[in-house]
Amino acid sequence: MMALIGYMLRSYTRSQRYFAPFAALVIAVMMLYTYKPNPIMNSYAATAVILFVGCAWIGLSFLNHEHAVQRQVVIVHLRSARLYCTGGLLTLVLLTLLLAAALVLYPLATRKFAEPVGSYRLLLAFGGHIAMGLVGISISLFLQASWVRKSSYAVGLMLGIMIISIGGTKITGLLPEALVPLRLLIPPVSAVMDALMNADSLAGGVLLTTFAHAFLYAALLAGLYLHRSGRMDYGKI
Amino acid sequence: MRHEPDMPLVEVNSIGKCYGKRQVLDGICMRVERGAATALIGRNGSGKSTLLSILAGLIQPTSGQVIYEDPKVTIGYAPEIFPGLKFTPEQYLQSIGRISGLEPLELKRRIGELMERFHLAAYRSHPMPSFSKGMLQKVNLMQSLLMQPKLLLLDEPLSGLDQPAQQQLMELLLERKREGAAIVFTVHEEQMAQALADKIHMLQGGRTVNQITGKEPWQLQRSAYIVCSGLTKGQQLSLASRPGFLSWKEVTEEFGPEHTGFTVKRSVSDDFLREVLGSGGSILSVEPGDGQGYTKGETAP
Repeated sequence: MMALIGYMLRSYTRSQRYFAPFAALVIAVMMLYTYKPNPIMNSYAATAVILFVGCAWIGLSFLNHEHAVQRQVVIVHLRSARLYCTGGLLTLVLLTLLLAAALVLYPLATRKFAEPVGSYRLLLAFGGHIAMGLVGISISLFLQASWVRKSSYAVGLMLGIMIISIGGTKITGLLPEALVPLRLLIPPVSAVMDALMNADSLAGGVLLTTFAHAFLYAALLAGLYLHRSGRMDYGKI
Repeated sequence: MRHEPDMPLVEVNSIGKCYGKRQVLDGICMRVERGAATALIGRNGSGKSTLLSILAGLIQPTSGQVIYEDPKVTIGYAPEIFPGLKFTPEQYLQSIGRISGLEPLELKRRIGELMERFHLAAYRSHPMPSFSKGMLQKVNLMQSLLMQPKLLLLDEPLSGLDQPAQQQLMELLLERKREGAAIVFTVHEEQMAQALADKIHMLQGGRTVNQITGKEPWQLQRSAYIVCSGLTKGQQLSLASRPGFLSWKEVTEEFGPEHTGFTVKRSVSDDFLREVLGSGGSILSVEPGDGQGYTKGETAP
């Protein structure tokens, strides 16, 4: 699996498709921290949302960077399409962990906060960033070219899902009572964002539940993707 | 794992494949034996590449099943088109070898050997996007041979190769066959089918129209495909018993009701046409049946 992840990372970096989402991510974070001092948890909530958007974009560019024939050859060598898709997913998880660490540690390294962060807040920030990044990636899995043929549809769907995700709490408030259970379908981005912003006043159990919801959401989507990917056709170019 | 002595490496049992309402393959059966080569022959769109992709596990059949004697059998697959990836051949083959679990020293040895055999050693560190079609095809073939697979699936392997490279490939494939590998390949070049194939599997419109097996050298003969109408069942059977007849099928979908497509040897096609007209039938089309009417034991006209 390590060889597969290494190959996928090399292939992705050579494709240069990473450049746009990574550049956008860096610019957005730089702009956020232009001035100092910054409020700790509010800033982390903002960078977590940026990471959600960035990871969804990175996920889409990563999953679409390979030529279909390149994918076919690797699947045959692995003798399993599911293994290939698992490798891709793990590569994206690795990228998410690295980016989450970078976004959490950057303001500390450059002293952008007025007060010490403390290990509890740091732990929450890591958890929140990883959860948001994984949700972003799990959404991109279903919008890759082998699932949504037209890239314009995929981008449109991605933007729509992002808007619904970020405005999730507000949208849920507008739903009639009978439709409120539908909120479980909305990616739990706004809930994690709210939890991070109010982390200082919320009980640990509430925060844990919110993060667990996001991790579970991402895990369910990833599980569904891997289940389905083993039964798909990879013969078309 | 214990194997039955006569169990083939792969057994294809009546597989079909549909894309929506379009039937791409229908009721295909074949046995892929160790140390034997099977040529898949047919026109463009006859389902050869789809069948190869199903054998490679890239496409799931809609019906029927593919049974591998050993589910973990090593498979080498060379697709028809190979893109100019942003790797050098050496980097690419090393990545593929590592993914397949080859030991570093063994991997290095095999890459060196393949580079020499395909005369690509001088280009081992050149980026592939600058390669010609033939050079990319060599990298494609090298990746398929890297693991010394028990089952080799090649889609138009000669495509883009010059004469010496074609010769080199043929020698290599015959060598692999002698070592016990099974080879399934699609081909348009008679020469390759004659030199390599032990079995020819002819496809037309996603169906098997003929399977020829034998040890004697192949004499390939071109055929004609005749679509006609207005024949009774008895007349159709009478035509099917004529010398030179290869196969027939109902072509209702393409041409309307009560139309039949006959594949016959081209040497007897004039006689066959006269027979159809003499029986009161009408002829809708006569086309060269390249790649669908191969037979053995006769010389091409």
